[in-house]
Amino acid sequence: MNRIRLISGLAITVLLLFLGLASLLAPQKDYSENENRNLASFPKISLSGLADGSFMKGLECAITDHFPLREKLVLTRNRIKMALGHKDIGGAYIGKNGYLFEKVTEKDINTDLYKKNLKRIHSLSEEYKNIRFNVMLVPSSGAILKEMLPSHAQVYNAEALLSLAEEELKDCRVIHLTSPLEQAAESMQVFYKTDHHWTENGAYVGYWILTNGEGAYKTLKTLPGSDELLGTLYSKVLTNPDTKDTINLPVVEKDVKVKINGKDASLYCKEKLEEKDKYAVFLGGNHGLAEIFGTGKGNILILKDSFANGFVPFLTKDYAKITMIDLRFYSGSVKTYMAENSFDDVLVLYELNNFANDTNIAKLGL
Amino acid sequence: MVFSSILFLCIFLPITIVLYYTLPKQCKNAVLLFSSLIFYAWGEPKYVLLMILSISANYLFGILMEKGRRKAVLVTAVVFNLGLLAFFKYTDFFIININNLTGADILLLKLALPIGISFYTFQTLSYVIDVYKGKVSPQRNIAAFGMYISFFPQLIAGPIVRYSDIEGSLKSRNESAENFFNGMMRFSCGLAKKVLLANSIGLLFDEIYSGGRADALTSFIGALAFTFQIYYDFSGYSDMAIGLGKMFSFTFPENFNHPYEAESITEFWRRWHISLGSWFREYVYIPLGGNRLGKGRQILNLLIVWALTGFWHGANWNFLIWGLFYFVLLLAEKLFLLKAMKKCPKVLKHAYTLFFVLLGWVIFACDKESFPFTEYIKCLFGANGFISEDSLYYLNNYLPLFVILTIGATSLPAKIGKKIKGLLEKEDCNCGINGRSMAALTGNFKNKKNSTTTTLTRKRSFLLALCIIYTCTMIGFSIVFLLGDTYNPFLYFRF
Repeated sequence: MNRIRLISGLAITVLLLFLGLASLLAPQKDYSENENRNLASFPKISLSGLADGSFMKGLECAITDHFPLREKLVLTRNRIKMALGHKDIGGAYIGKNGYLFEKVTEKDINTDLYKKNLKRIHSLSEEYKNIRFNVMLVPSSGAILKEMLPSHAQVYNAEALLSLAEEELKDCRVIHLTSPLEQAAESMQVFYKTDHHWTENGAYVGYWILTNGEGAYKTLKTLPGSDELLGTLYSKVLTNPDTKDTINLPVVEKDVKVKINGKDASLYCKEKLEEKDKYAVFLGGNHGLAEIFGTGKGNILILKDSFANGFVPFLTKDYAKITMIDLRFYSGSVKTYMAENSFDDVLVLYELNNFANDTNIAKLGL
Repeated sequence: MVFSSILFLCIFLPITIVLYYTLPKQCKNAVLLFSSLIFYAWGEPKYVLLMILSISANYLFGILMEKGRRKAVLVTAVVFNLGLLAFFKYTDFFIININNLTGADILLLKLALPIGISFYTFQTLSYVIDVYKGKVSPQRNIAAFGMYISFFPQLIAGPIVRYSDIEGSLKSRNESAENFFNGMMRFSCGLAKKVLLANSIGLLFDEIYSGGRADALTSFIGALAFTFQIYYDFSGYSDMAIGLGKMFSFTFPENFNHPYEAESITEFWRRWHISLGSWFREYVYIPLGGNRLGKGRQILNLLIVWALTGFWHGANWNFLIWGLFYFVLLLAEKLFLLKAMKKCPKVLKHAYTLFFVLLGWVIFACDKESFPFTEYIKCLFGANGFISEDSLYYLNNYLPLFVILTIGATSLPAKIGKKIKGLLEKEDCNCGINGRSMAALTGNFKNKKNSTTTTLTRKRSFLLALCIIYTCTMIGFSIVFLLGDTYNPFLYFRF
């Protein structure tokens, strides 16, 4: 009996060591596509790193990130948690019908920052009284598809935030998308299930309301993009890969030209459909400055986050030039840019909670 | 380093085991001392010097004590040890309060607290006091002494081991496969308690507390979550320590004995963090006179002990109040409550105990100035309404886990474990005796003997296989959870 004890104790020890060494010596991976994040890299040994403990901390993170079969094991963990009744994992709600939602509750909204951001937009509109300002803050999927949330799960109050925007932005047109999206959701899918973005249907609802149904893009026509999307929310939960989303690409005129940070590019970056982050098919992701030359008239400036990427194809029939500035990546001054170029319209297009918590809007310098 | 990390489980521990069991006997203490210092330096590279200073100083104190002027050495030793503890742990607290009181503007030291300093200071104190009293003779081997202070299993979160408990083991130990395996099993149980249970439920308390003032049900769920978290975390750490000790053939004192099953606060403290309670009794309460100097003096002694116990848990007012809260309860029980409760039904006694323990944890856990425990208690009693969608959501999410936690906190799992262990040991010796007596009795009836032994062996093998599967499962699942957890707090950084 003692022999069995000894052998099993020894076997466990050796197995543990094997796993540890395998994590240390395994080929390095820098990025986890499924989780959409950079993996910790192994730190270099240095005296200062040893003295202040940063070497040890780095090693600890790196060995955890490079553990054999880590992603599969994390998936197992999440399955166990779900089996125990947990309805949110890694900051995402596990909803009904395969829907995942970003868990953004009232507590996660920085109301002070939100007000400040609104004031900044307001000051900008004050400075350019001759430009039409449209502000489209899209409620997140959880705030629209409430009945798909897990029972009793809470999300922030989008209507209250939008009323606040209405109060702060006297000279702008604040576009309320809550009820149009809710209505549309009854007959079509307006948000992806595994990703926090809106689908082409959702974006088209936004376009329809923005243009009061008078835009040049009369009916929604799409080409299939990919039906293999496992989006940002899937990356948080790493589970139920049985549910995959379909990305469709709105059909646009052939002669639409795109320049990104001054270089030629295209509206649809099809090679992204082969990668994990398939939503990046729209313009190849987020860029500081993207210019799109459409077939319509006039100039529009869009201050945006990624919600605008799937939306902008619809505008190509309405404007001659669409300038998209993503403040998170734009290093220049928006004021200077606006002084050097003339615009007929400005559109502020963000996901509502992202706008509320974005510290980059301060870059407007107002 | 903490036990609940991949680095400890898959690198540090196996390497230490391999070195320990392959190197010759005279190196074993050195292996453990060296690995303990690395273990400590891992999280606190600078403070390992403090640890070495503390080891050398107390080693000298022990030896000097033998050479005469015992009292002077003892006083120096106590001042030295308590001085270090006070300097690193309490200075800023006093400065803040002096600043607040007098409007002075003394700069804070902002020192990081050396991990485990409260635990190892108490160990060094018990050593010098015991040497002074002549209970133990001073340790002359510095490796053995250094190991007593810094031995990694109990270094950072106890149990507080008294020198006399392991004096013999420091010199020589009988390593055996049984100790090694049983130790590993105990360790795996503690690891699972910490990683699978404490971390899972701890997240809930943090979420509720950081969310600010809530309704009564949510607040109650939050308080219950912390009640479970601290029990599973702390007793899990103790299990891991005891198990690790056993793997190297040390026997540490038990530290928890199903405290939430207690029928009174007095009993709760006999079952919770036992090594701390007995340390205070031995080195504070009894030297102060205990209950031998009249009722008035006894009450004063209790007050001192409980104020210190509270303060030991952290340099903050809420810990002091938490200690005094228990002083009041224990005093009431001593004076009349225990007598009055004698005829109460058991359910009521449990409910009474758990209610106050839970309230105590609220005092203990709520340390934010913006949301002090007084406010939390108000919420607990409905100052913000009684029920909300949030509370129902939490209930929906965590009910199965709460059921598991409740069953796990009773003595039921331990009883099952003991039963299996008992059977295994009984079968072990039964088999030996049976085997021999059978052989003696039966002589040529070989067939009969064989069949009896085989059934016994089969039963034993089955139980042992169960133990092996349990150990592997617990370690395996803990690793799986560690890989995905961003939440893995170390609760004793303030102790």
